[in-house]
Amino acid sequence: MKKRIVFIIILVFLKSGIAFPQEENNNIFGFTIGFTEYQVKEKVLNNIRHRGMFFSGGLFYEKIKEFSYQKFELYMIYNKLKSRYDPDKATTAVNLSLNYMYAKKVKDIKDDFCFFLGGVIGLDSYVSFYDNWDDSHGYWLTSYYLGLDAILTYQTSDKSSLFIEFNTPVVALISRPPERILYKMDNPGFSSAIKKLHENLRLTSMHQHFVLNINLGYTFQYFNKFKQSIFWRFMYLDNNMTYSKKINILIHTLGTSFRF
Amino acid sequence: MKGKPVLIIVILFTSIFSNCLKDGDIKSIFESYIPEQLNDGWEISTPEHEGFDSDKIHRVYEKVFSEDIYPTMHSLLIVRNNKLIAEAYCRDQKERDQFHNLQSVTKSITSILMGIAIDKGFIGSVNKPIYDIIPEYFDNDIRKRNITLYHALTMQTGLDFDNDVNTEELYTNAENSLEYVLSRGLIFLPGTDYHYNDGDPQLISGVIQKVTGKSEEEFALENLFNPLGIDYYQWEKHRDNTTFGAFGLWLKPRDMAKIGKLMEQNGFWDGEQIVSSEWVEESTALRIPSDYYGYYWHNIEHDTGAIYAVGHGGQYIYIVPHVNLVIVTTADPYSDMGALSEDFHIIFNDIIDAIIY
Repeated sequence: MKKRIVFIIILVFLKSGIAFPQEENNNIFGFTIGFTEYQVKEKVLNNIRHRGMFFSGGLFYEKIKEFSYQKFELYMIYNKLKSRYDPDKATTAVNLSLNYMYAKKVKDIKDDFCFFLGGVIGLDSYVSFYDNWDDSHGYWLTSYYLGLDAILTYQTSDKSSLFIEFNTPVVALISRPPERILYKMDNPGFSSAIKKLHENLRLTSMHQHFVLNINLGYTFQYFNKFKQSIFWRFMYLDNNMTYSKKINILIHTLGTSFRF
Repeated sequence: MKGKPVLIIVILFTSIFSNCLKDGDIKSIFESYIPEQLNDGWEISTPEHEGFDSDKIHRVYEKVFSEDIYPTMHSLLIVRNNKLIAEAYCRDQKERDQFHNLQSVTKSITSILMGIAIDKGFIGSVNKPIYDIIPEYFDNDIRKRNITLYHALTMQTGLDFDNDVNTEELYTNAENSLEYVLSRGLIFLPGTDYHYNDGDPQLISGVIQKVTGKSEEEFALENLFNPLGIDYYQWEKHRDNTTFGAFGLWLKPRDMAKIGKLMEQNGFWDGEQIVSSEWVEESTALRIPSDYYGYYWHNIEHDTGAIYAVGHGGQYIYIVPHVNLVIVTTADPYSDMGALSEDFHIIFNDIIDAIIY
């Protein structure tokens, strides 16, 4: 059912006279709000899927030139989750994402299509508290990464455009909890939490830390003073460090951006 | 036509990635509770031979393997007449050979070791003030000098040790574990009230180390684990080299059952008195009626006469001496048992009800 809804929304995007606008303002500040479905599965906690939906939001800054595109973005997701065993939403998940992307225009494929290719550097932090399953510890994945970014834009008029963006980390510094947690409970202090989020940092690549981000959207001008985008974001993460246990995260976000 | 390539890309990725994460199977399929004969000191028998209604035992295991009732449970072992008669691991059969976090069952093992230390003459009596043994860790509050071993064994020291805060500090920050516990203020005078905490057993561990010259773990290995054939375990220690007396012991479920069998046999094991029967009786007697507590052993108030060690999440060594029964459970060690699983005592009562008189 969910698959159908997503598909219908995308078809609506495609049929709504999409055009790629030439941005009049090269420096764009904006904010984003979304509705996020968050799913996480930790093997160390029985491989049960915890799932929930809630609002998410972020800020961004874009710099657009004729042959290049830069974007700095901060995005945060907060969600209350439950598994099929939990009587209530006892699990809390927070994701903080901070990244900088730089891409060069590689090719004008046709009059309407442009292809950008570049790199992305960022920090992703996923923290979960599974209160019913572990009332003593937090679980985390911290990733400092360097990756690839690709954007394909499709312009249908001077006021609107469709874009699809892919990015994936290629190398990453990863921190995860150990497979066997010895300490009886966590120190809840701020400095201790920051230290914990950086324990066991290891450099790795896609064989242990695979992430795919897809961002599909439609930019248009409805209001006179600013432009808007509506988008669907998808993120799939599969991490399996040798000293830890596997974690999978799947995030879908439907949202809108306001561009000033 | 212009939108066709994009449409194809969109359909492709939507169909690939809009799926959900697949939910894992939390429990394996129940096949059998019949234990395998291993060279680990356990004699194997069957429920029928040891006076059980095997159909009822089968139903107990079906319930344990049911995902909805006990999702956090990992294993259930039943020992009767000194024989292992049933054993099953709901998550993974490999857990039979892995050690498991016992949480506060560790306290009950500390109690046994205190008894052994007394039996061997390292300590005269539980009424001895702890100050007489480890004065170097006390601060200037002279009221604390009245704290006896008995007070520490029954959680009556009065030390303001809050597990939600101080256990973590004890574990990670304290330079010296005994000094840290004893630096806590008094919330009541020693012996006048009861306050369950992780600090008091740390004092017992420190006392064992001081009087025997060995850490609690070393003392346990020599005087408890080796005689019982427990050779695969883990016991966490503080940075000051003192074994954690309240938590941090990891044992295999079958080895937990050996501890139960030892207590059920009044401290007797394979022709040897490991801990005196007097200590077994004294340590499991009801000392704190409000909490059905002895020397780190719990009592059941109703007529089964059961005693048990329990650790957070559902780690149990449950002993019913008058029917020669020992039950062991392991479960997710940090789970909120009450939120997800039914009371494990329902299982224990079902097993007792399966006995044919």
